[in-house]
Amino acid sequence: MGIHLSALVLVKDRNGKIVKRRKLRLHSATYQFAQFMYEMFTAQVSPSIQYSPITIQGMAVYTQAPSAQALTPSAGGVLYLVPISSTFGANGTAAQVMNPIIGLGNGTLTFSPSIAQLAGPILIYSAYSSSELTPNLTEASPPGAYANNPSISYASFYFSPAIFQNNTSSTVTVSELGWYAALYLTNPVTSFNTLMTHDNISPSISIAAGGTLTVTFTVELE
Amino acid sequence: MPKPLLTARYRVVVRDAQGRIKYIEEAPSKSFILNFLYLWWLNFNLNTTDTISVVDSSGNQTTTTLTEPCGWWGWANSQTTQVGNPYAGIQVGSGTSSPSASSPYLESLILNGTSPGQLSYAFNDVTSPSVSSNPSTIQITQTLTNNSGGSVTVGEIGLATGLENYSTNTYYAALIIHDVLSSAISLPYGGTITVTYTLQVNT
Repeated sequence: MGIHLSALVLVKDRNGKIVKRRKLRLHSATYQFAQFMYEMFTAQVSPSIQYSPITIQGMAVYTQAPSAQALTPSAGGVLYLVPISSTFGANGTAAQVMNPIIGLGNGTLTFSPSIAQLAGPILIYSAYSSSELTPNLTEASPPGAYANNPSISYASFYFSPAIFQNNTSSTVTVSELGWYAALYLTNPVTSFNTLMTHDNISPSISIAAGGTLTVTFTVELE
Repeated sequence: MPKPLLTARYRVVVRDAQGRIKYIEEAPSKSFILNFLYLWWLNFNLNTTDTISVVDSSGNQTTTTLTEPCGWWGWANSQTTQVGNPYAGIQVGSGTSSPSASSPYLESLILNGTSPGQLSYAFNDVTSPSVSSNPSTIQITQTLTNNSGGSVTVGEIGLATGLENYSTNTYYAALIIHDVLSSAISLPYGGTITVTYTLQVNT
C-alpha cells in the first residue's frame, strides 16, 4: 500500500511515427522528498522549531540547465508547495518553462538520497541560448476518484512541458529522468524547484533530429 | 511489484490510568486517500475551479476552491493549535467502517475535551528525516488522554495536513490517510492512546 509514481515515455520520429513506448516506474526518492513531506507537518511561523541546520538543495533555473544550489531556510521561514505558475509566472513565460516539472538528463548517476541534480541535465529551452529540446505546454486534469485506483495523469498538466521536440540537427540521448516540485520559501524569500525523484533510464532513449519525446507522469494510490 | 515511492505505517499503544501498556497494534497503513492526490496536484495548477474537502479552523467540514496560491504547511504545529486540536495532524475516531479513497473525513471524529466521548489531544510531535538515512522516515505522534469520566471507544485513526489559502490567510486541515483498527479499542478513564504514523520515502 502506498503512493506510486510512474512515467510513460513516448518517442516519435520527425514524421510523427511512434518508435518507442516505455513505462518506467520511478522509485528513487531523494532526501528533498522526505524533507518536503516533513514540511507538510512542521513548517510554521514560530521560531520554536528551527529549520537550521536543514539544508534544502534548491535550484533556480531561468536561462540554464538545472543545477544544485544550497538553500538554508532562516528561522521563521515557511515553506510552501505552490502552483508552479504562481512561483514562476504565467503560463508560457520563459521563467516558467525554464523551471521544469520534468527533468531530463544524458548522464548516469549512482543513486543516493542526498543527490540534488541530474548527472547530465539537458537544457530544455531558453530564449537566451541554444536549446537541445524544446517543450510544449499542455493542459491539466484533476485527480480521478476511481474506485480502487485513484490517479493523477501528469500528461495533461497545464504547466508541465510534457512534450519535448528535438530541434537540433543530431540525435539527443536521454538516460535520466527526474521529477521536480515547485516550492516557495518566505525567509529568505526564494522560489525554486527541487529534485524529488531521480531514475536512470536503461537502455537510454534516443530522439532523432526533428523527433519528439512525450513524458507522462502518473501518481497512483495503491 | 516495485516498492511504492511513499508508504506509511501506524502504531497504536494503549495505556491504562497507571501507565501500564494494555494493547499495541502496529500495521502498514492501507489507505492514502484522494485528498493526498489533490494536494499533490495543486503543485501543477492554478486558476482551477476544483475543490478539496477540508476542515476549517472551527472544525466545520467544508470545501475550498484551489484558486489561490496554496501550500502544505504546518497547521498541525502552529502556535495557536499546538495542543487540543483534533483536526490537524493525528486524528482519532469511533467509526469502524472501511475507509473509502474518496471519503475525506473520519467516519466519526472524536473531539477534544473532557465531556463524555471526548479525548484530550496533545501536541503533534514530528521527527525530521535524516539526509543520511535510506530510506528516510518521518514520524508524527500524538498522545490522547481520556479525561471524560468514562471509557471512550476508538475504532479509526487518520493523519491530516494543513492547507492555506495564501491570499486570505485562511487555514484548513485536509485528511490524507485513514485507517480502521483491527478491532475497536475501549480506552478507560484516565488512560492514554498514543498514535504514531511513520511515513517512509523509499528509494
